[in-house]
Amino acid sequence: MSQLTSEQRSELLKNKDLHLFGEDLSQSELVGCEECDTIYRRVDLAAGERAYCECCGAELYRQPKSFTSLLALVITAFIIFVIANSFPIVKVELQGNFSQTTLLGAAWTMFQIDRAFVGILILITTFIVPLIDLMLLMYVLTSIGIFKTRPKFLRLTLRVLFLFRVWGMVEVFLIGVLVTLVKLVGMVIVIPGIALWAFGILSILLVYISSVKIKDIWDEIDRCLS
Amino acid sequence: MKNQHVSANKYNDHSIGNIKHYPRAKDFLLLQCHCCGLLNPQQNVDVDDQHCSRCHTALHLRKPYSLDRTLALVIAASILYIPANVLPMTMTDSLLGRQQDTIMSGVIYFWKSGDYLVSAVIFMASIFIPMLKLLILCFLLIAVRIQSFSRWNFSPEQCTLLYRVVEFIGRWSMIDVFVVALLTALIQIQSLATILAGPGAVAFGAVVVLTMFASLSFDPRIIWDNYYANEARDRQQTIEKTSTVMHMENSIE
Repeated sequence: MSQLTSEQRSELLKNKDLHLFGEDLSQSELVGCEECDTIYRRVDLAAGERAYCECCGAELYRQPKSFTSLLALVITAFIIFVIANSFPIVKVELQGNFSQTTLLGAAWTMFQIDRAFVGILILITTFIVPLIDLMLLMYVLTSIGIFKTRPKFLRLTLRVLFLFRVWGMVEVFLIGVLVTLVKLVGMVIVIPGIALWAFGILSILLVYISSVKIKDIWDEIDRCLS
Repeated sequence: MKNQHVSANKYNDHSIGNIKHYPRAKDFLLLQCHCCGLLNPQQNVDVDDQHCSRCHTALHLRKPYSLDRTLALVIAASILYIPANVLPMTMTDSLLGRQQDTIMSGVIYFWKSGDYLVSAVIFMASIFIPMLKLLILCFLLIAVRIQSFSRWNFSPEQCTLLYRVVEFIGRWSMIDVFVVALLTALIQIQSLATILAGPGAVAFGAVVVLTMFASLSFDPRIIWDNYYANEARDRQQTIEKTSTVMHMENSIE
């Protein structure tokens, strides 16, 4: 089965209908494993259940939460994102001198001291990508979950979301902030700001939101709009 | 002679021992879209310029030039790993003068001053994880190359597990870049102490980005492709061997 002869190949190419597992199946009834290329017939899952590949153990798909509850989470995350970026993360005091910084302030300092590459890296991973991610998700989820229409730029939006997924690193930034605080505690007086708590909540929300994969969103869209 | 034929057929039908054989998309000429996961039927013999019917992403049988790209990125990251560890990450100016810290000297400093947790976190994120990533990626590249031309089989399950580890830990080495940026932004207290990000931070950031791109461009399906190809070759050889043995037995009789 693994080695097809060229005749078998051309025969399969001619035959446009899918004939697998002894039956004719439509595309939407099949699911493939991303890591080992095994194909399966899709079974319906209850909410919260996941399907795993039998061959390599990778996750195949899951039943995501309804788009409206996901939208609620995305909007919450967006509000907290605004708070986290408009207040100082931490304030330090050394012999009567105060100093404080926001996330954007830290990135800006990097530009000022000629480490623009580091500044861009921080800006992209903790500001631009999460912001665009949340806004695009809001756009898609509102138009499908509430208005039940297919958004105009659906394909483009979801492709951008797919490319951005890996590069959002708010939770890593949070650990970075905590390490910085512990480092500074011996040297100066550290006063955690509102944004620190906001980043804590934001990273939990973002981890949850990004656990919904783009292909699960596509499957759910097909189900909602068909 | 007839007997021999039947036994050879049996060999083909049933997989031997514990060798798993699952139906694979490649065998049915289905192309999986890497963006939306839809299985598209292959339309031409060469896959070029075919797009996913659902999301219009360009389709590929495997990630294009997967192994070459990964190798190039791994080499670039390994080269940059040296300045990232040798050049100073932070430069502290205080009343006591200027002090330059590399990643390792920072870890040692915190270990000596009793902050074992911070020391361990920085060591894990900045030294252990990038090193582990580079080593695993090198191992996977070598394993795939060896698999493809000899019969030395690495367990494909364990290779995919290693790949999953690389994908998961990749982002966490960014911690040190964030720490340096925050320290620089916070400790700008004129005349008392200032901290500046050193050139090591740039090199280190580049290492993290390059290794992330490397793990993104590696396609774990190649491991399984080689595994199944080897298995088919093995089976072919066993069949040939058994048939010659049978042949010999027949001639002895």
